Amino acid sequence: MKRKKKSVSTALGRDRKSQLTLQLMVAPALIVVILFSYFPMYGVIIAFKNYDIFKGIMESPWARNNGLEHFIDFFSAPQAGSVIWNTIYMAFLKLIFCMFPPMVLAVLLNEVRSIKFMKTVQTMSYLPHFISWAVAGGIFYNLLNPSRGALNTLLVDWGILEKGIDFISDERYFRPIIVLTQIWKGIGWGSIIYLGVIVSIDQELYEAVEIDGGKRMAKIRYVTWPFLKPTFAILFIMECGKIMSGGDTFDQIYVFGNTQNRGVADILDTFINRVGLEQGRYSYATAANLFKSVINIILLLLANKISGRLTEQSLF
Amino acid sequence: MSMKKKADVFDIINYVVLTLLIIIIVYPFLYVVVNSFNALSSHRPSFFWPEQPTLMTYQTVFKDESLLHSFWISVLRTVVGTSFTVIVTSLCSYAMSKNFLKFRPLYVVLFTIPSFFNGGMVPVYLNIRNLGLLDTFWVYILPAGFSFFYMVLMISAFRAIPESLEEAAFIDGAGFFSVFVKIILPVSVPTLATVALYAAVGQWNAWYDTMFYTNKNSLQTLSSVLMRIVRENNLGEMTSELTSDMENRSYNPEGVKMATMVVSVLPIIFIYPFLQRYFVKGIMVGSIKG
Repeated sequence: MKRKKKSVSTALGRDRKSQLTLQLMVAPALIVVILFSYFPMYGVIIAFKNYDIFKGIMESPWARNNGLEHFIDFFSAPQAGSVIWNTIYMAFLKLIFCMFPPMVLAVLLNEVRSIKFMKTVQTMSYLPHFISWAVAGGIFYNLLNPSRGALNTLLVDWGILEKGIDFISDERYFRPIIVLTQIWKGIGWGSIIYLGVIVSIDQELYEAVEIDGGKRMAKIRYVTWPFLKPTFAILFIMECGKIMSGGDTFDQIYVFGNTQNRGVADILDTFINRVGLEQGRYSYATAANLFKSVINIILLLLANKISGRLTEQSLF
Repeated sequence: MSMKKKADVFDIINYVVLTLLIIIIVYPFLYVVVNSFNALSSHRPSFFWPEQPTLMTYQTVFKDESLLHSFWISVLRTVVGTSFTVIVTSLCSYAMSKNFLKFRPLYVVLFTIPSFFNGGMVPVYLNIRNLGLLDTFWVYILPAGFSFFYMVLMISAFRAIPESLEEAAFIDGAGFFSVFVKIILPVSVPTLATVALYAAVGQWNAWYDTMFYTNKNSLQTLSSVLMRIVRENNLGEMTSELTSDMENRSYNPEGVKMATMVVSVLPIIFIYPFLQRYFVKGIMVGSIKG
């Protein structure tokens, strides 16, 4: 009897020893999060100070203008305007051009009748998701190289171009390249989540449309799309929280960016990384970063609220 | 009924579009593989078959000691890092799957906030420096120990396990830790595999930490070496020892670089069948619970 009682309290974590075990199980993760997520959050204070490596965060003196010196410096810097503009531009290009292709692919895949063909397309389309931007960048660097790249060789052979174009370095082609390579890398992977929703749709709904004389387009419009809309809304909200990060394109822009295309390539993240980690202007870069994070969170909350009103879909 | 319909215009267009899409997605990989076997550093690329097939490029890669060393570091960080992540996150997830865990609401808040806000590049870097982790192998392992997304996956898996399984063990006097190790982990292998694969791909592809938190040649990973090669190509400079080495030793430096890329992608291709299955499962569970 006694033994049984003890095991019940163990199972419910009522006795001290078992509660201690559970607490110890959480501890390693908690330590990791505190050390590597919360310590840096505390470090954000240096945005308002003149950080001195030797003095540390606490002892470093406060910045001028009530600690806002670095924010003022950032906004009055000549490149601030273009960096912020590039960031927002890139994010909107991503919102407009990269959000729909995965959904369209999912719908198209669902219309395929041969399961074998469908599986093959799916398997192939996920592949680019698993490689890093370092490799993806290398691949496209080789394809687009002005003198020995495949694209330029063909364009010259066909007489369309006289001499190869350095597409990546050319400011006119930079943004399209970012968008297209992003679609290339993300379309297959992004389609999974939509396909999961489509598979769960009750077939009777499609039959109902069929009885009403609806063709395939009608089925997609009146059945598939309404089911996909909530998922799309959630992904859209999350994407809005990345606007000031250029739609999370840091890796990509770090690979493709160079001194010639910097005018359109430089976004807040690459700017912060360069100024902060490469030039060592710690406080200044942190101020720019804090500005970025705050706007991102505001946009996320705003998108969440608006979406909640319009589509009754929200993250939280 | 509808399944027996003959293919209409929509079907034909659909098949053509999807076939084209697959060609566009796969061809860039094929192009790099073909040209990595090219002997001549000619100004014309090969499109489908190397003009002068050779294995020299790969021999150069496998003879390059610093490249081999970076490959080894990549393997090491992937194995150690993935194990650490799976251990830390699964321990925590099991405790977090119990509603009677004391301070659980507080932990939920603590674990959630970092997925919406982080200190930013500079504070993260300074923190790593203050912790004395710059230029150490541990900078690859420790910060990656916990992930909110993996925790969500694991909690939902642990909660799906029938309670009767645990109860029997509790009656036999087992504690939470031994129940976790002897009962929970063995029945959760598919979920653990999913998380392990996510973590492994992340570790294998990571380059930022190597680039900005380490200087030592002995700590360079394959991914960071590739990033450096690609960037230098892009910037039109040949600064690092490694790439200038390649220029000297080989008669087709571009081919060698492509061979390096192929070698770095191979491990991912090898585990691709598993990756696919478990990753898809992971993203589905994540989207339902998240």
